[in-house]
Amino acid sequence: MPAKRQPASQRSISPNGNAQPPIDWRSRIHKPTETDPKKRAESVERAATRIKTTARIDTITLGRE
Amino acid sequence: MAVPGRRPLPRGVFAFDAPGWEPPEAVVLDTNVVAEALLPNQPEHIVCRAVLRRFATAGTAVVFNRLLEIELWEAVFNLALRERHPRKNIRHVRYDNRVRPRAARLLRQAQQAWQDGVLAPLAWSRIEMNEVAEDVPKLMQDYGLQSYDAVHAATLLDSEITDFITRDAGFAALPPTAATLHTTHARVAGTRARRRRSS
Repeated sequence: MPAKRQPASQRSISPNGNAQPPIDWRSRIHKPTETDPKKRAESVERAATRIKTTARIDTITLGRE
Repeated sequence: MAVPGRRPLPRGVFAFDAPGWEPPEAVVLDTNVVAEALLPNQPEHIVCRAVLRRFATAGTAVVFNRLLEIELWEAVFNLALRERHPRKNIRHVRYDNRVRPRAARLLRQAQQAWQDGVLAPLAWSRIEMNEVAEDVPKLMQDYGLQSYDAVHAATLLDSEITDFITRDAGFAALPPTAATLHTTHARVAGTRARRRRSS
């Protein structure tokens, strides 16, 4: 569980205009278990065939249209 | 045949399915690209699947907000509604309980495809909604973003990543210095035009 960031009132404004320090996403990166890039690509390919449907939706509106 | 005239300004908008496009070192990912990649019947399925494959092979760090997953489940649930009611407005049939067994199957497939198929081969980092929620109102106010879109935009800005993978031209409202948009070739011209109008 990521650490809670400081309340806005306790943060300084950074030079980029953000009121908070950047999120440290690098420290919690999950690395792929598979080292072979080809096998990693194959995993994505397999995932892309797992959902079986003939329907279509607008994925920008998440099908709410 | 070459088309005369100046080449259009990129305005920080690029096509991830263009020849010569190289994946950045780190990107923030939008829901619509994942949904399109995981749903084989979608019009931009092939190019979205290909960009995720590129990230897997290149070792690109893929950062996304928890909201992506929630929105993905929403898209899949709506797909089940659309299957049963192809011509009806989804909002009017939302609570049709005959859809739910089918929705449950699709949701299981989607969860497996996302966790085991997409995330497992990627270098990824998930940002929780509470980490960016405070910045959402200001992004809505400054750029007119919808609240859900502002969550993804806040994830981008608060991570100090500038490369955003999206098919939604609405993010063109963000300034090019803060957000380089990578979209599909078919959407580049429209997204650049929106960015020109926003600047």
